[in-house]
Amino acid sequence: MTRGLLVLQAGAGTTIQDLGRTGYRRYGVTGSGAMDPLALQVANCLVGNPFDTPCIELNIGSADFRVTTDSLRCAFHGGDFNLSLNGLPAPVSTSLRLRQGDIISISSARQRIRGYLAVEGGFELEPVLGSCATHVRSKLGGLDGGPLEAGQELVCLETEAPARKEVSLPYELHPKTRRQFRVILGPQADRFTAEGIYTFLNTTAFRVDKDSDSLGYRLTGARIEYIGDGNIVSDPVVPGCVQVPASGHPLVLMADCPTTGGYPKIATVISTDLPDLAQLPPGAEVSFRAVSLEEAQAARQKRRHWLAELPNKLITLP
Amino acid sequence: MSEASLLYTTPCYSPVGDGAMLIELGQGIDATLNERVLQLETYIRNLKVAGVIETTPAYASLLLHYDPDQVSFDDLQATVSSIHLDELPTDRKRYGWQIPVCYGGEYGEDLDAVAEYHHLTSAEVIRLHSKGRYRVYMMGFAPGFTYLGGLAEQLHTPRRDNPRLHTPAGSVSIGGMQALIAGVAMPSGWQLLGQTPLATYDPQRDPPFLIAPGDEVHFHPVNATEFKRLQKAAAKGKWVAEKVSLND
Repeated sequence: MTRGLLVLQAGAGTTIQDLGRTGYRRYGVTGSGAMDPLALQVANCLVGNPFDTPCIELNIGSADFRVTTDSLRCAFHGGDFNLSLNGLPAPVSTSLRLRQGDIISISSARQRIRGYLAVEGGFELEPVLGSCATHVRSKLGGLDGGPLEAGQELVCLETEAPARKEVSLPYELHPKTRRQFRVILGPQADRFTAEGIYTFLNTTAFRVDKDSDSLGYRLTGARIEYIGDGNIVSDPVVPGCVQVPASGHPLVLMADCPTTGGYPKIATVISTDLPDLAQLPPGAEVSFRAVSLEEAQAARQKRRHWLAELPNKLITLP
Repeated sequence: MSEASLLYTTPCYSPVGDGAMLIELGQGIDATLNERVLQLETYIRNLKVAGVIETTPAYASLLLHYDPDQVSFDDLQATVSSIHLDELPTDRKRYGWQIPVCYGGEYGEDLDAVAEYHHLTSAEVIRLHSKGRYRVYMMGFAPGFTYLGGLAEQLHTPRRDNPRLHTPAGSVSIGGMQALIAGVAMPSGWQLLGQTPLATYDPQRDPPFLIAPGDEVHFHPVNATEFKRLQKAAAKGKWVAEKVSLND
């Protein structure tokens, strides 16, 4: 009988994620999906999966799994987690063929806190509203809509992993930590004073607050000055939107954010940079730089080409 | 301010990041304006514009999620600008819903406080709330959260100073001039008047969502016994709300 991975231990917020849910925002269903969708796609690429295959997402915390199928191929990518196989160090960002009984352990991360475990062929999961992404708050997706817990078993779709040469991500393609994030101003930049916008773009070190999660990153430091009472009639929002509530401290919406919000938005972090923001832990310092829509879309296109070329750039191990 | 003045003469288009376009048709909370947003949404969905992935309508604005590899912001804006907003089809399908609510007690913990705030009896609050005709202005925030306009002025109540960390799915509450049906359990600062056994959102049911933006909602009081009976029926996938077409 094919089985897969038994969860021996999983840190808080370890969930199944893919590239998120589309088509139900008009009913209030958020996109959710991976906090770092780029890292998820790289992990999938390393095991030869379609890039949107559901993976196990780790958020800061550690996790241990035991292989309960004959063999499987997996790869872990993203964050500064350490990997070990049966107690010995194992390479990250590299495909690995595991045998029944092997124990794969992922340590907790410090500076880059989202990591993805992809398994060749993916897991047997029932999509909900078109996606397997877990949204814990609305009990959607994954296994029963919740985070992974010790004792749960994920069933692999592939019965075994045929032996072949493994691949690894070249060092120069490993992600680098970003501290400055590009934004497109708007759509309510006119609800802020000139000084407010200046403060937002020229504060060199906003700090990611400890009260930050997959819904949003609260930033402390300078207060952004706004016009009026700081409320708008609710309008649609997307991940990356920088809301400024009455406190004047910006809140950057992340993957699990609501579909609508009632605070004015000074800017939106561009899609190419948002995964790097999602990697940062509380306490990290960040700043923002305004770019044009053209520059943002050029960066997006460059990222798309980078991903399309990625399978050809992997190093084949001897 | 007259209703018409809430509508802009020409819509305002702005990028929301590099994959979405916000179309603001006006400002404020107004049924004519909101209906125009939904007419435009329906029209754009029917056009099946290449590159438009998804639409999110709200009170006075519509967000188009698009793939910039398939359509540029400028081309999308040109397409939408060429639509004559005054000539949009007005025969969009709309439904009215009769929704049971169990008011007060453990089902609506703020009912008495709201009554006291307005110097009314709890029975008067129930009567005022359940005789209202509400418009669904928006579904947003979280799955099945149904934002309603049309709350009687005598019931306009500020939100709670201390939001509750847990309110159940089906909560029927009020906040400011708005009323709300909650689709899933959430923290909330709104004043809880009651609870409906109707699941505005149930991923196991086909369809997962019943009520849609632009629909009309009416509430009728039920007692705790009836609530429990309906809740059991809802758990089996029954709608427990009556639906009528508003197009005839």
